[in-house]
Amino acid sequence: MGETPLLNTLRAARAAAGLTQADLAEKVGVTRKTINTVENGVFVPSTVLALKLARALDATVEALFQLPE
Amino acid sequence: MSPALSDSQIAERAQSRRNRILWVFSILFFVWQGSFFGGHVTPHSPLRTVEIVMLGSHLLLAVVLLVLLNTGGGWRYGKAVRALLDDDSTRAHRAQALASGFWGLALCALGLYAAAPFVRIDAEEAAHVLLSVAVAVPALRFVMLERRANRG
Repeated sequence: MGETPLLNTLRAARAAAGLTQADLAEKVGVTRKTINTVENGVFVPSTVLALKLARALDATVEALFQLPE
Repeated sequence: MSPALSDSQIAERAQSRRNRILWVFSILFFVWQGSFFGGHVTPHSPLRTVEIVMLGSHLLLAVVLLVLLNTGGGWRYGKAVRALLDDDSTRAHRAQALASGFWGLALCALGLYAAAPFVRIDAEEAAHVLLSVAVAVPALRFVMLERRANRG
């Protein structure tokens, strides 16, 4: 059984906050590579990381990550 | 004087270095095991000093690669940098790489099992081949995943 794809608006939210991938990575305590893979949909973040990203971008997890319709 | 690097910048550099080391040493490790078979002149005689040294170095390299792969490396840095070197995506890549290693090992064991009735394979030769696959396959797969993740 394949993994359910996860859509995200992380890149747009990050850009709206005026942050680079490196800035956001530093805020949530991961490397730029992890932010890059999440934005590209290659890596599905853990619940903890999703919550940290939401907090760093002052958004809700649901606003950043969505299941496809 | 150059400005002090942040933990993220140090981790980023250490990450690239780790990938380069894993890549080069995995290839070296794999090539080296080929020379072990070629250089073993009389298979059932006691090992010569040169063979003991070769075997010992090969085992040492295997341990170093396995430890580097499983801990994330960066032992000379502080806790914060080590945590960045072993962040979420790194752990996910490691899990995928180890799964690839498992399948490589299973396929290799199947191949050896199938070849056993036709080719005489000593236990040490089989162990050597299995160890090489168990180390090289996950290490190379890990580097591949890390490099792909770093592309923009």
